[in-house]
Amino acid sequence: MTLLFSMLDYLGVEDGRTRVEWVSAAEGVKFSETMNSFAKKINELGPSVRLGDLRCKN
Amino acid sequence: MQELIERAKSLLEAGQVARVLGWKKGENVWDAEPAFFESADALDAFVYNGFCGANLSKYMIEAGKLEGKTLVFLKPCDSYSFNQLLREHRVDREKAYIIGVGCKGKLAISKIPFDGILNVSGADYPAAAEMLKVETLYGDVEIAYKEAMLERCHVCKGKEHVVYDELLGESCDTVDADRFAEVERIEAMSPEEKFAFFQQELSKCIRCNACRNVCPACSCRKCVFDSTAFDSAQKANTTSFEEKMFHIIRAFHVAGRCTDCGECSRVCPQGIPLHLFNRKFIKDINALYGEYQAGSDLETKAPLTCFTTDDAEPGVGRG
Repeated sequence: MTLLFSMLDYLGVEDGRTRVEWVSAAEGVKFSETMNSFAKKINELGPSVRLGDLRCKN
Repeated sequence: MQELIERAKSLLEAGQVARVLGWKKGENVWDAEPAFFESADALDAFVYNGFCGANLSKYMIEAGKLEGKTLVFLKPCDSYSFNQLLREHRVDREKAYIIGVGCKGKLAISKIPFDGILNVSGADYPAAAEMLKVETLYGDVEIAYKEAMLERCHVCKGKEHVVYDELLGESCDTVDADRFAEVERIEAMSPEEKFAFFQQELSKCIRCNACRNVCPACSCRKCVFDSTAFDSAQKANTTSFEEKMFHIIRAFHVAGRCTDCGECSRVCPQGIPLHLFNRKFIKDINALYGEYQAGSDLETKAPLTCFTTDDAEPGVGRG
């Protein structure tokens, strides 16, 4: 993941569009907070133009 | 070159090897291509000159499945690829007789910026000239050997073979650039500039798959890009798959195993600097996990397939 994130930065993909977090099934609050803050972040960034995947259009 | 042919002939005649894997003369001096030679007579077409950039290691995967030993000529950088394949159990060391050949830097016809080239002389081995004489439709011109060299030779890993049975021929140092300078230049750009740079380079891609086919690290029997489930198996002009996904996936699949042999950039008909992806991974691996050169030996643990408690966490280096 470290290498992938570094590569995405190298390619000019916006910082913040990718994230990795370890959340245990027992950590409901952490899960909720992580998902909400990440959803907020990517909504702010708008549609992912730089990392569009054509497979999503199939 | 004659020395190589004679050695190959004597090994063939003595029955020590069943075939020879080397380079064959092409239509033009710069068209030398990999070829198997089954007999001493066939070796008349054998060639070893400045245009023999092709890395023969990958062919040893198939050669290993044939009866008898195969004599293969490996340049210093090719021997790293062979070692890496050996480590991945893709080639059989017992089935290979390796002659490590000297290298004085390899040339690219695309680096000779003249129109109507008819012939290039001075690329012979071992007697490589300082200046190449280029015969063109518009008269004779000259270019320095160094200037026509492949990008990878300017940042050569060294002229020591890492695996061989015997060595033949001399080498000379060709390094005159920093391996990671170009990567650092891109790293210093803003995200917008980086994206624009890669979009411009990658949009040239015609998805000929040459980079994948030539790569010694890409040796899967079944490749993800040949899947018919996605539209990834062929070039569709209407999409930007090549710009956005193909090359990232390709580079990621060989991360940690790429020896930086530079074959991908050499064969790209569109001149895309594909080594910039591989080198970014190599640079990051060196910085995060310690200096590592894939293929340099068979013992060092590969950083991406070996867990240590010192491994970098995913968030490292993120702003």
